Amino acid sequence: MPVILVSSDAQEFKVDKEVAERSILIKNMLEDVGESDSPIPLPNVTAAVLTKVIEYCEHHRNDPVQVPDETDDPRKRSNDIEEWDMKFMQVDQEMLFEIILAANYLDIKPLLDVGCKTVANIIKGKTPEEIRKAFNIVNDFTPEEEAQIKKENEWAEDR
Amino acid sequence: MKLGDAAHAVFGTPELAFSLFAYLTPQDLAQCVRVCKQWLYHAEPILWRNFSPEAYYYAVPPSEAIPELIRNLPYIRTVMLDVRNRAVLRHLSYGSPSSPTCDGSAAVPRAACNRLRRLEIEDWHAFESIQKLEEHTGPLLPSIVPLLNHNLRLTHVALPFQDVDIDDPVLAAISNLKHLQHFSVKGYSMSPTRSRTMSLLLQACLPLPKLTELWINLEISWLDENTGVPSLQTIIKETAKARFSQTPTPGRIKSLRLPFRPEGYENPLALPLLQSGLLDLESCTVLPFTRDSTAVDVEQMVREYCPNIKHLRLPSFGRTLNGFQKACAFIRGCSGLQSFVFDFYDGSPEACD
Repeated sequence: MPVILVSSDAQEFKVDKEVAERSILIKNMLEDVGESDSPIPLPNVTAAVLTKVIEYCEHHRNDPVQVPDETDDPRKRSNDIEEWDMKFMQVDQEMLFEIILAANYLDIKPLLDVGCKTVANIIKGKTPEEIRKAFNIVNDFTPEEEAQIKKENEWAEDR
Repeated sequence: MKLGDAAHAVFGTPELAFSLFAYLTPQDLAQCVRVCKQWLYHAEPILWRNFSPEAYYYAVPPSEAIPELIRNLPYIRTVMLDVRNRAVLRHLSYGSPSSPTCDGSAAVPRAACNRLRRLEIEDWHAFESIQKLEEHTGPLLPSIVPLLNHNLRLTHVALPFQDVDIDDPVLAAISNLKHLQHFSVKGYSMSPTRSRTMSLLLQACLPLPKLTELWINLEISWLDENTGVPSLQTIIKETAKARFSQTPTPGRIKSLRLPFRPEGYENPLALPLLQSGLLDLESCTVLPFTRDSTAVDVEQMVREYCPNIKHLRLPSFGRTLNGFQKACAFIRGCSGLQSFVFDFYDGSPEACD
């Protein structure tokens, strides 16, 4: 049975239940309301972003459910993105961050992970100035403050 | 142009910033903290989770507080330190050295670092005399007791070998680490009481229910039996009993390394450990059996006590002809070997069926 999703700009999307349930938020909502064909409003997601998210869920409709990582090790790898996902993430930066927000809101953990890995890969190997340039971030440190922070965290560099 | 709204929202949401920065290495995080105040706020705790200072803190005198270290103590999960880095160790154990209590008396020592999971203290200049070092800094092990006592969820502890006595509080501290999975000691000892220390350490760590890896990377010139405590065999038997009398019954040791002599194979610990039922080895360095065991004995012992080994390492000290024959016998005894590394060939792994 298909499910109807409504984006913030009032566009309707008809998707298979199996695809929609890649989103834990939607899965829980469907379980709560039971059998019903009323459309599901998603006020935080625009049509453009929802189109991308549905594309992702369609492609990954048969993936096994991700087991939460029980290990305590906080170090994670970002060089293991699948080829299809890598291509899927080749979007402009605003869209990339929109997808991350939508994945977070809709609770689609694998999509959130891929989004975060993609951003992490942009950051890798860059100097603070290059990072600011890449994301249009304004440096709000005084030169003294920045020098102090550099000194304090120097132990982590050059290894 | 300003940072886009979506990007702003992502970097401004703590859990999103956290999962993003978690993919970065310490080197990259050290760049991120310098980007802007918001990134500093989110990235610094993650950077400090794996605290591994090298030369940077050598110059800090023990009396001097390190403000950034003090500030980040609650975030630290992993510590890798050189044994000489006492100033840092002191701060990890006691927090700020000069926090006066309200009644004006000296501050009660209280470990400020209390979320540690891994503590690795190494002797990065291993062949310098440890005695010489201790003349300057005092013994290491007593100084980490508060740290162990305040971090009961430690899963990995690695320490340099130092002699301890039976009533040393470090032994009680180790025996309280109920979550410990990996315990290792490393180093070189000529001290006449090293065998006694070994016994005491085994007594403290072997009953720990979660312990699956025991690495004693210790080079000793001989392991005598004159220890002043019950013999190693007795201790191993007793600790095995203590371990398996707990409910739920703990698993067995999966990975083992034992002390070695540089000139060959001989180890009074190997056989008692195998016979104790404490082991269900999946990986180990070739066990140094007693000198008078033959290759046939070795093969038989392997078949009987540890046939499930998947990963085997033959250390370079075993490259004498006798050692090599025994190693071959050892391999014949294993039925499910997946990898074999012979350190003599520069440590490069060699597949072996």
